Amino acid sequence: MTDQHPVELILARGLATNLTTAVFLVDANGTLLFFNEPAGALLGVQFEEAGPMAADEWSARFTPTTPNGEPLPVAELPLALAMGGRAAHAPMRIQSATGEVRDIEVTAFPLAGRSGQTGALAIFWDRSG
Amino acid sequence: MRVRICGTRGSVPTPGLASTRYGGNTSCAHVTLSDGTHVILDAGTGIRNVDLDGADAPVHVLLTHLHLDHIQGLLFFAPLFEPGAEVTIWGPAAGAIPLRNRIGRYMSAPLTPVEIRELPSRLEFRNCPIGEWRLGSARIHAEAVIHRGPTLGFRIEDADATLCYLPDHEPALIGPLEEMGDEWLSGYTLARDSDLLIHDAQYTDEEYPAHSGWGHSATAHVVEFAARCRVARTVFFHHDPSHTDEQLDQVLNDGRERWADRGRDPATLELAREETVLDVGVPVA
Repeated sequence: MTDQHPVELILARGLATNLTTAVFLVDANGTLLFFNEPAGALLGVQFEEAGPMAADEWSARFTPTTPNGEPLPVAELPLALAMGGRAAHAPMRIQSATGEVRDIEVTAFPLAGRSGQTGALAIFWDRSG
Repeated sequence: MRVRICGTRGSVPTPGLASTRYGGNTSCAHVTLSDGTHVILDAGTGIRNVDLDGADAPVHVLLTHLHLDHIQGLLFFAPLFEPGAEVTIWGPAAGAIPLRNRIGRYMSAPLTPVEIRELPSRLEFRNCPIGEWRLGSARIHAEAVIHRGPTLGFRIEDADATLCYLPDHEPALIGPLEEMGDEWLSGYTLARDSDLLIHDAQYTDEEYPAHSGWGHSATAHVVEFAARCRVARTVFFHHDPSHTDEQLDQVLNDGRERWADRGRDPATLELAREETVLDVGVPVA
């Protein structure tokens, strides 16, 4: 039986849908729940096509590295830090689903509701020029 | 479980000849659980109509939120003035300010002549837990729902019957309900498969666009929400204060037509009317 997401995540998705900044939304387990169209443009795939995916799946699929191309441990990703309860910001390089390499900056912060932390939200800033 | 509708109106009390049939008091429903526990849902001016029939058992008031139309009646709730009466008021947590202090903004000078500390009852204020908890013979499930400000919805399961109470709710704020998966539908977990849904239906479909974001639903939203949640019986609630009885009749007709279009029995969709008694599951003796 399907359970609804906490209202903070529902409202966050509603906000993200209406933003022109790229937004990536995960639940308390790090599972990708949604990314909006601007994020889809950076990732080379739209959410409707990609669908929800577990943390290890999305972190592998978009292969985030340092700006120099060195491996970036999943635990050091801003979203992973936000899952731990604090805001984080980092420059990184990702490979889109179409193989395009993009330099972005990621700002992530936890979403904490009255029942505790329900997820985290990341904003992607395109620095590829 | 027995539900007595004590106040049906949203926003502001609406006395007058144009509201005699559906009522003009603001939101309140009196639920009597199968073990006799009294649960009062919201404390609008309708709480003056609550009849505890001389019972001296503890009373629980569950507040969905603290907008004035949901707390205005507190100062007129007789048990608060009875020495020794046990009353517990449950409401949504919001930051570090205790519930008592937040309600005290209303129940204090210069807005009211009586301060909370002067009430002779054994009055307790408690933050309502999110999730499931027990109250008397019932299992209560409270979750935050989409409205302006911290707002809860309640699911009350008692003796194999389920009531869902969502008096102020705008799930369509996020987008068209028919395009949303169940997991993105605010209130879904509370309402699914319930025997009785009491739901915000403040606006007509024509009125809604000018009020999007105000925290309320339109007729089409409630019908879609109730159908998606597979609700057996739906009661439109929180009537707009500008709607006369005749206009509300039209809201009911419109809702029932939409309900029938979905193959549902029109008689299972109703408009809340003050003093209506609804038995959910086994009637309370």
